[in-house]
Amino acid sequence: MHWKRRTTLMVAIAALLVILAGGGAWAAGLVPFGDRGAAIHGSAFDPNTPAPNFTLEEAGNKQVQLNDFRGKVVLLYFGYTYCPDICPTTLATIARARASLGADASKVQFVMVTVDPKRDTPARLDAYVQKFDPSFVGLSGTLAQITPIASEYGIYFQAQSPDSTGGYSVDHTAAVTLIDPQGQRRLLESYGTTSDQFATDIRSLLH
Amino acid sequence: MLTTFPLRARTIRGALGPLLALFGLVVLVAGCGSSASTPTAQAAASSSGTITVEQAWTRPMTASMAGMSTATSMAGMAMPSASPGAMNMSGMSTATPMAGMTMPSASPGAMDMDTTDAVYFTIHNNGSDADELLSASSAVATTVQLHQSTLTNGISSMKQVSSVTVPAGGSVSFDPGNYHVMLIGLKHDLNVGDHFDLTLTFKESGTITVSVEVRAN
Repeated sequence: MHWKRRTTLMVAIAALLVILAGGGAWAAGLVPFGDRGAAIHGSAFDPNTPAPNFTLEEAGNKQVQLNDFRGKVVLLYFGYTYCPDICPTTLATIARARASLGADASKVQFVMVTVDPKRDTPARLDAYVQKFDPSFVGLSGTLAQITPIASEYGIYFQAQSPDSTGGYSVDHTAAVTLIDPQGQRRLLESYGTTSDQFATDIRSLLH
Repeated sequence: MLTTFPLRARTIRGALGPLLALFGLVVLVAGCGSSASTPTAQAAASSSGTITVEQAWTRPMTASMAGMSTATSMAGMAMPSASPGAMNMSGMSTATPMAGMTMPSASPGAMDMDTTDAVYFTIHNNGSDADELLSASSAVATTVQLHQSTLTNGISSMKQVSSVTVPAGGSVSFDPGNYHVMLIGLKHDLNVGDHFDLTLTFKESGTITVSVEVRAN
């Protein structure tokens, strides 16, 4: 009996310590947003800052600004259409996440900015992104326009030298930035984030 | 946190032992089964000697994006509902309404830019010697290469590889974000539900032709 009570007490103390340690780490900003109870997956920007605005070109000679999408959760991705693996996997995952959101889907805007403007014309980008979801937007411009935008979003990209067929791939940061309806930069989703995790994180920014 | 983590890890490891043993047994049994039934290979798996390739798939892709965009700007043909993308996501594989429009120019290519796609599958080597995948070919694309994506500090990179070793008694998965067969310059659209042949050449086992399924994901 005595032994049992002591065990219970020790378990209780251990549990308390764990909770305190967790809380302390959270308060000190040591753990990502995702570990705060609600199962948010992405890493939070702390503090939130306004997402840098930019203007690029969409198919049909349309000039599009990031700020045009105010009121929606924007998923901003930097990729390219010749990318057969990482980019389609990301776009397909986000398309599934959006499809799972029901009525909230209309408040979600996926925007892909090309890191390969030499080959990705606005028309080509448009055709590519719409393969995944007709609501997706693809934006292109000149390398001189895109480089500083990518830099502001912490996105690295570098074209590799062409192979024997003349094709080349572009190394690029594979993360997706989530911007809330007020235009604040909120979460960064790394490659490998599942559609359920995207959906949860999008909902958290909408409600 | 520091105190609970090792405990939890030990618990998982403790449960994992028997599970792994069971899994190993299942794989062994499956291995025997498949080599015994090689002549009647299932649709999902193809094998030659000790090599088995299963669950080959790729995503839908149009052969010509330039053609598609021309069609879009041409007539405002109710793009959103007619978009093959929309159909793919819902899993239907009805013939694309755009097919008639993208085809009329008899010269494929020229102005049209190449499109790419990636094929994924799992290779099992049931033999006692390692084997090597040396190349892949298919009639659906101008060029077919073995590629590997890597992720370093969040930066994705892709490079061509000359071969992929399949260890004796082991397997190699071609998965999104890792190894894939890259189809460069698709000759025709790949729509959900389509199947096409992909021939893999191994150093020891020779060629194996697998049927690749086009699916939404």
